[in-house]
Amino acid sequence: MKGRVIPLRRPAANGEQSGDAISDESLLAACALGDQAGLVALFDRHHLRLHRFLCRVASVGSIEAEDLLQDTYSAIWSSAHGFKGGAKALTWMFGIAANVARNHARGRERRTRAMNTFGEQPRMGSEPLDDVAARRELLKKLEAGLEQLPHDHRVALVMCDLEGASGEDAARVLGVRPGTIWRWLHEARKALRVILEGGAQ
Amino acid sequence: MNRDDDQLARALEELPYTPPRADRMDELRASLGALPPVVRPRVNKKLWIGSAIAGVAAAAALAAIALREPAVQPAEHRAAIHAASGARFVHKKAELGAPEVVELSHGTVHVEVAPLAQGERMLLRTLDAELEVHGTRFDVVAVDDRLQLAEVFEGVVELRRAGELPVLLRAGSRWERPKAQPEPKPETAQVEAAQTEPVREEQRPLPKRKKAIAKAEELPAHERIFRDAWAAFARGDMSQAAELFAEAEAKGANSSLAEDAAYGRALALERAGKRQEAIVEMERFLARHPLGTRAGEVSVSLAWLLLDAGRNEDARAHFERAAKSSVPRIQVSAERGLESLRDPRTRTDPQDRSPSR
Repeated sequence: MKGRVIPLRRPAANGEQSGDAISDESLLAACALGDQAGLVALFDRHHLRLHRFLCRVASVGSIEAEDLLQDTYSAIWSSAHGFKGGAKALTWMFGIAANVARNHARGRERRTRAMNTFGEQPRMGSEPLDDVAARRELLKKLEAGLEQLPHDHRVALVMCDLEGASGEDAARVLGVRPGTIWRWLHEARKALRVILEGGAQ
Repeated sequence: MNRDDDQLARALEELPYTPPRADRMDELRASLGALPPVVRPRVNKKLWIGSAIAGVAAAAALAAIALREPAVQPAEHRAAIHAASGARFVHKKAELGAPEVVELSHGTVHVEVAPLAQGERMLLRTLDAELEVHGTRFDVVAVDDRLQLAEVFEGVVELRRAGELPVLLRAGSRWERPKAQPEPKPETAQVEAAQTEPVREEQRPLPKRKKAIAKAEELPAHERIFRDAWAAFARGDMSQAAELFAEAEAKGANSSLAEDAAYGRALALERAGKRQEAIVEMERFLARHPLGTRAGEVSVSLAWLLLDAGRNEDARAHFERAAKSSVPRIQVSAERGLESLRDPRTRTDPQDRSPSR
């Protein structure tokens, strides 16, 4: 029987072993053994990315996302024993955050945004905006469009396109088949591309 | 992703984002360090134990059940192995009558072993050595099936090498293969520098791995009693552990084991709820080993006991001493203690205090 191997050290950005920092997977294993220092180390490394992920996926502001971040790390602490090393530790943590966001969304009404962009066409004959302002407007529409996506499509898009998780890893931590993840990604990208193409015209 | 998807991904990255507030993140970070341990039920495939367990308390609970039900199936894995890239090992689960074993042939592993219940054993083996563990954290390095280094961070490890008498490695100690040491020849027995007993001519080297286990009777008395004391501690029998540690310290008074035995006795008395005796023992420890590796931990544990006994000024002195420790757990515990002296409303629960829990 082979042992359960957890990489001891973090790989450097180019994939080589860095030789100094402990890997995220080892820190999660430490959490599973009750070592709070492992959880604190994971917080120091990844709290900003998880906070940004929660802002996007839960469609909440920065302050509200802070509370969700606390819930996320509590859930990571209590679920660490469930991490089996099948996906990257950070992707697994995104999966935990996605569940926290889903539970949060079920408990509240969705906020309405100032601009709902689906179906809106550029007005003919209006005063053209300068490039920076146009870009800002476009991003606002994109943000609103992101919020309008179904939760699963939004999670897949943010996890894979924004946070760089692989489709296979995302499927594993979300408990779905890879084909499902690709379908969610396709639908999400298609919906948001409409906004992007509308803004580029 | 195609070009359109790249464009979308870049646009998503430009979405406005407000980072979290720094003071809120500091609060959150501090709260993570105080999270209580997670209690999980342990399910046995053959016999359902039905006991929720956690940490040292878990070992005590499990031991109590084991004493009532002798045919308990041991847990599958009590050790978590953190392996460096390139390490080669096999991890065998415990079976009835056989210990859990990690066979390391090459590379570096860091091992963390949960406290063992009565009758449970956990071994790490190379071709030429065997380490028996008692609820520890330690690193092991092997090259080409030969043990090169063992370093213990917590608990006790017994190291047995072919042709040599066993040695005990306590927390903070490290064993390295001597440079340019020849392989042990079958017709001679070598003695480690730490051993003081002469080699007996009739002593034969340990021939093969499965037979290469030194009998307990060959250990010096104080080492054997010290090992039994840790075993009692691991199964939660604190009163017996305290007695055995005292006996080990007395018999090994001139050895390096005396400090660890004194520490073990103080800890066992505290865990047994014998607070006044624990205070006396800890004060005695600090008087005899003021610069020992355990001094910081003992200082902060003593400080909490003194605080509970109403001896605030004595407690403060020990908290201040412990706050200078280089070990973060000890620092945090000492700072909590000083905080509770300043504001009694912040006094923590006992299980949150001790850095050794």
